[in-house]
Amino acid sequence: MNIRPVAIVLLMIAMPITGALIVGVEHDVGNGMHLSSMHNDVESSIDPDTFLTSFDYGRVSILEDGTVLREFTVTVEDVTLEVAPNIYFDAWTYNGSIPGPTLRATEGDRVRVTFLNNGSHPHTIHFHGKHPAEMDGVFPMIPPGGRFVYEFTAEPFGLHLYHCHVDPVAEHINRGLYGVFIVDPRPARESAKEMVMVLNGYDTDFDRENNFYTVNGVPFHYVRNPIEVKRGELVRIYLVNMTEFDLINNFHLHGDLFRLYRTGTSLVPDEFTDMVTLSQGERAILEFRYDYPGLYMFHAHVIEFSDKGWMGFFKVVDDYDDDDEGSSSSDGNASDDEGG
Amino acid sequence: MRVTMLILAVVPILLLAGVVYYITYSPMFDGREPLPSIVIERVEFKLNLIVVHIRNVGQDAVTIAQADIDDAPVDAIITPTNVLQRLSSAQLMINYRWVEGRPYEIGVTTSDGTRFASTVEAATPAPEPSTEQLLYFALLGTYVGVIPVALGLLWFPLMQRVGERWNEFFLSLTAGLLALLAIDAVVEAFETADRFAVVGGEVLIPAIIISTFLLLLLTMNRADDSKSGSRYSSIRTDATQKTGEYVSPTRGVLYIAYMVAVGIGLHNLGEGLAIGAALAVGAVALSKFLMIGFTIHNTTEGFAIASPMVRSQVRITHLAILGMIAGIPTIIGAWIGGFMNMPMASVVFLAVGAGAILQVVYAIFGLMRGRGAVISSRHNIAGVVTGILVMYVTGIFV
Repeated sequence: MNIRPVAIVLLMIAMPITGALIVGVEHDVGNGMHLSSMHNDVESSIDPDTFLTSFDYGRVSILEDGTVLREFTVTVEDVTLEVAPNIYFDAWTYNGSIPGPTLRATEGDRVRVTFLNNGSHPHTIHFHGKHPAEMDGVFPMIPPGGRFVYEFTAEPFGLHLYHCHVDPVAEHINRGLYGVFIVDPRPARESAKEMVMVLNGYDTDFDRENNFYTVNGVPFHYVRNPIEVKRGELVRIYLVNMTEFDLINNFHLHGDLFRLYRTGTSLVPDEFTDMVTLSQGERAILEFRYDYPGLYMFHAHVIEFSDKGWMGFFKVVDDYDDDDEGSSSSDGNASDDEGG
Repeated sequence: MRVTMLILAVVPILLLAGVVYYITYSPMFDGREPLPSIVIERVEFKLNLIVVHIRNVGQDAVTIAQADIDDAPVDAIITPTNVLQRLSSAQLMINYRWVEGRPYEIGVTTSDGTRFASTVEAATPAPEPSTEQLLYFALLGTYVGVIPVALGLLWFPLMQRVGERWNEFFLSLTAGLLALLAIDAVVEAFETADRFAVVGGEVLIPAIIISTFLLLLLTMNRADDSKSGSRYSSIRTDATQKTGEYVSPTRGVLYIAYMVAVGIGLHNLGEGLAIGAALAVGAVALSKFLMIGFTIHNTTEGFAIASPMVRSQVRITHLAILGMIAGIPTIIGAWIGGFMNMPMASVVFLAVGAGAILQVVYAIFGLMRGRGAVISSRHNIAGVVTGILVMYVTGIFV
């Protein structure tokens, strides 16, 4: 047999193997990096700790007839937010963060909201509650660069919300245009450790399914940073469901039960329970006291949602650490720091 | 004059470079970021651990932000880094108490929030490169590759005893078998390229097939020209004698036989890779039925190696070597596919195999014409069609 065919045969076998080895070389397994939505922090301008206990009461003045006037400024800004570790979402926001500021008034107050649209799309603010049709935030779409003043009387007392109502509404909500609007009764509710919890989701790949679920904007935030409450202290949660795409979301409290006030429009509790299920846009006030110290989980009882970030802990303590500023701060709102 | 020619040659290249430079830096084309594209090449299930091999097949570098199993985020260690340059790969290690036989969807999310997922039909423990596993894969390769080829070669004595017409029939049958085998290899190459998003697979495969075909044609012509002037001269002389016995120069037919063996060997290497990889990732349970299918299918390959040589004196050692060249790559393929992550290699092997086999088909027709056979005669057409049918029917089992 001639040597040449053998050489060709060998060459034909050698060439692809060499090529394959070059292409298929495995990386050395070095130390690697840790990917974790639960354990890794988010360096974002979303600050759930501050948001939790921040209430914007507005700039207060008294009108001639004695009515209290509360003036707010809400500005739409397009910002890229790190909504989960290393995941950057092109958000549309009220005042630079998700959720928008928690606006708070007392029943009967005059509310004046100056709305500036610094975004790149037309937007509005649609408030839930009683108001004249022209203040409903649906029809006059405010174009980019535009300005509008929403003015109405805060009524009825309860837990309300606001969001953009420009089509496609689901897109505007998914992008982050929503916030909480609290109208306190007169006289006020019993004093308590008050906190706002907005349930939301992020559809980061725009397939109309949420990739993450959060309380107050960052998945697993209160797992990493449990919320401190004092044993025996009355806790009041203003719970608002702004989750888009999923029909319901819910809240389950561990180790305790709460008095439930649906929509917060009555001072008589509707239920005494450890579970509340809310549809899109529904909300409720929850009141409870913990009898025993320790860590208690709260989460969506839709496990898909809790797996994807809607989970947190209460840390029940006998006494607060004095140094812990975060747990008792109630002035300013989360997004004012970002302002621009 | 030289300088002028050089300038004429270089000017268009310089202008092209200028255009590329302009497109790269002109603000006119900014703001169109290419979409990320991640492919999950391989998922290995180990003791309480899932290892995911991913590759960035998009245009730009991407950052991997998160891994998930069945849509639920999980902690993962990514090596070497979570920033993947274009075409580079990474490995994710996820601690997870997986359940054997259950399907799993593995997902990764990039920093822009896009999720890429891949489903494993049934979680199967990944083969560890132990002696036992190597032996198991070798045995598997032997059953589906080596033994059937050897069995096919056993027809050689029969083929030597039949008349000229039958010989032509067997040769054309071989051509038919090989033609369909080449098509099979091409289809498999495309499927593999598609499944693993091998970059440029659609162009790469035909490019490799055509180059392999042409290169082999060239080497074959060269080899013949240098020795005896014309490719089939020796055969032609013999054919005119019509003696039916070839005295000395069997190099021409041996060459074809070796080409057949190498082509089939490459095809079987690709096939072995596919079997090994499928077993490793639990994509298929290699049932007895499937093994029987491969075995029957591959017996035809032994036949194809034997048929060009029937009119020649061939030593038994040649037959053994030919059988091994064709069969043993199945074992090597199963090893590589089972323990390494190289879909690209699989595609390349299959394409080279297809090109080689097509060249062999061409050579077989050349050989037949050299012997004075009429390709379009009834028995030859019948042979080709029978070959295609046999390959098709045995292929149904696979």
